Amino acid sequence: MVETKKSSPRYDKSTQVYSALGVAFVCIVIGVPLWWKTTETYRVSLPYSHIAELAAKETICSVDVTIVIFDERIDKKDLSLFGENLKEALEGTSGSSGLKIKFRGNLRDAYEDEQMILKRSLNLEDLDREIDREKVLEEHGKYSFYIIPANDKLFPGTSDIYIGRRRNVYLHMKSPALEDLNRLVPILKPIIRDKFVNVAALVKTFESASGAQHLETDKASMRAVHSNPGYDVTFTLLNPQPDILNVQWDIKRGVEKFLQPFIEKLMQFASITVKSQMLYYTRLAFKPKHDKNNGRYFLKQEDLPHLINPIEAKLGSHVSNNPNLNFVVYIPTRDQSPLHIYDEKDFPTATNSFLSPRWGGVLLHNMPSPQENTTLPAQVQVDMKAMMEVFLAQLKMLLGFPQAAFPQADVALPDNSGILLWELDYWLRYRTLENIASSTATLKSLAQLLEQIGNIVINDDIGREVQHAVEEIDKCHTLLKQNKLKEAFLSSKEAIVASEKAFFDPSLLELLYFPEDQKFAIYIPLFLPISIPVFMSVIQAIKYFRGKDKEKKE
Amino acid sequence: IAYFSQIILMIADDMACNPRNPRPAMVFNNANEQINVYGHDVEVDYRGYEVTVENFIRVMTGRLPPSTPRSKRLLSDDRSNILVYMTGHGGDGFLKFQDAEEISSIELADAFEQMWQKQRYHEVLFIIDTCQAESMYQKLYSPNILGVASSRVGEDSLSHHVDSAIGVYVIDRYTYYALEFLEKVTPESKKTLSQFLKVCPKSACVSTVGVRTDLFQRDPKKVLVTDFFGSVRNVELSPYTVTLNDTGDTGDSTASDRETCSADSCAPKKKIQRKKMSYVDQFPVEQFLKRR
Repeated sequence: MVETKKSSPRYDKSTQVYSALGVAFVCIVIGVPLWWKTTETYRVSLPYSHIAELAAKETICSVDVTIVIFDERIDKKDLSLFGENLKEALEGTSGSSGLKIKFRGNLRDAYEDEQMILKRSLNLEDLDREIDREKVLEEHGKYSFYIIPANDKLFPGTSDIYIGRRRNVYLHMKSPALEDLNRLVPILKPIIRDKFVNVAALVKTFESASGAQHLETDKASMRAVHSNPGYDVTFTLLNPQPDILNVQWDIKRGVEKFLQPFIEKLMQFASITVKSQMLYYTRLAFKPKHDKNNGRYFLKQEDLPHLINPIEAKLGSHVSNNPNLNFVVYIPTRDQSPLHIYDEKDFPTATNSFLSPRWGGVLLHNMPSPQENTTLPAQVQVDMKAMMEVFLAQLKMLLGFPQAAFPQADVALPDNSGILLWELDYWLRYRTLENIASSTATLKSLAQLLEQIGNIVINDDIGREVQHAVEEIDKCHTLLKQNKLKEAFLSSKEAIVASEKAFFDPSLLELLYFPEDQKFAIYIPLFLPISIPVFMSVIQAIKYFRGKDKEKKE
Repeated sequence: IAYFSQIILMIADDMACNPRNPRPAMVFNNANEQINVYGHDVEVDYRGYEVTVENFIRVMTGRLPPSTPRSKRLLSDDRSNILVYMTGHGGDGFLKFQDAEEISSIELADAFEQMWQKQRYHEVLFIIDTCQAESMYQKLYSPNILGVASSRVGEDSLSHHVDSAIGVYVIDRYTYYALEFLEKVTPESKKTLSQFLKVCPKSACVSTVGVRTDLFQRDPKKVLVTDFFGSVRNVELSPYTVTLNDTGDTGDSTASDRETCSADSCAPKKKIQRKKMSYVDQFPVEQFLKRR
């Protein structure tokens, strides 16, 4: 009995010690990992290394050029020399910093069918049409140059170059001698490098979409809207005096007849939605000057920048997220009629219109004033064809279609869609490269952001979109190398949609900036009251065990 | 070169229609009621409880939910010049939002950096009018930002004058003099940013105006004020036309759908036998009530 009484304080002390150790054990072994795991942010793993690879990868864009020789008299050696010269001319500085444009050439003799077509064609349009009919497949990105021997019927003497409606160019070679062949090289080079495949513009677009800054301003690159899967086009008629002139416009017919072919041609690449509206009693706020010589009112180019802003609010904001291009037809008021835009030489411009980059265009449409005794308001009609001719040209420029001029050549007129197929190819290549560069840059900065900030939650769908974007970019690189332009464009479109969706996902907001000291401020009131007693008990336990050891020694 | 005309206004918007406002729906820039700054064309995009730090950062970085209307988004691209003007109560490294939360200078710097990464701006003019305003732009590290602050760290920005009719100070000093300068700027004006930066010397403002130009690549002496204010657009004459073909259109307009039709000319509707509508038989409460 005495023994147990003596040992009970010892026994209490040991239970105390062991229970303190038990609590400490639970805290450290179970509690800490549990707390760590439950306060972890959910982050789906992203292919960071793959994205870095893509950002460093070089984009290779191939262009196929076929040269068809009709004249059998040309020496084979001369032909191969010509081929070498042309190849050398086209190489050279073909892109820089991540973009390389490779020209693949093919030199062949004309087929039997083609020779027969040449014999029976009356003029170049016929020739162009018939030769195109021979082609079965739609060949985006492949250009053909037909070198036609001396033929006065087809080339009556004005120019020796004819640019066809699709992707063909017909060149007139007066004699089968080597010098004549070689003279074609400096003609072919600018057509291929600068017009069909505008290497300089493509490189610039690629670089700026990849994130490089451009200090100098370049009109062409700033004019077109950014690449987007869809665009909205709004036609507005501004009639400031509807009490005097009742302006009617058959916009439905105008769009169906003149704009629809353009929209349909682009339907598989970009969707264009058209809206129209009429605004009454809206004036353009300016005072035009009066030209006394011919009673015209005029605006110079310096006055034009201030016209758009006052009316922009009235044009209405629209619902979709696509970029909107506004085309405004303004009927000048009776006291400012006729109103013209004068260029620097003080001549009225042919189209009486101007465009604002990435916004749209304005056309000043002069209407005759009503006669003396007609009942007001007088009915007038807007000339749809003239209006659409101007606006379609502006729309093409705003969407990024090339404005190439061929000073020495005759160019075929496009059909009602307004697009020549080589222009379409240029646009596809331009947009594909822009999409690729932009989505790669987006993914790279997203990856950087997510790696840097550890407490952003990365959801599953962001991971999915990033994966999808990365796959599509890979696919697009391969397709561009093989010059499959249409498929490359479509996959680049997928890539940019997915990468934008991932980058701009609303859940990626790093809302709380938690400096380390604030983290302490949150955890200390929770853990300190518990951890101090546990810690002190553990110290006691250690002292107890040391005491026991000492006793044992004694 | 400004291509963009879009204003996003985030204010608590509890002043104009406040019961204490003796001139309802009007907010003036000074006690003499010179300019009604809450005029007809003011569109408040974020008001009241929507003015939060989160919404502000969402607008700047573009991470808005897909249902957000266009007018509430910042639709800028790599060629847009953006003016950001912030005012309120602030301190060293923060700005108060609505008395409930604060935005820190580091969050602001991160937001600008994300905009830069996504090429959402060409140049930014950042004006801030709070106490110790300079601290808000000190942490910025993205290029092409010009910062103007109404006071240095350690200084307070002061209000200008009180409107005794309302009983509060109606405008701050820096804003008052900046507004005075800007009211004189017309769209054709050739005034430069360096003139704007000199507005409100210490004699007028009592606090020292701080300017940060190291991130800005152009020389402020050569930058027009209208590059950031007034949205002067770049225009080009468009001399090109596309030749279109108008064949086969005679009679098209008459054959096309008529815009309106009357009961006779519209396609006659088939007479549908419609059941007469009536209420469903109701629960026979009366029978049960009668029982009692």
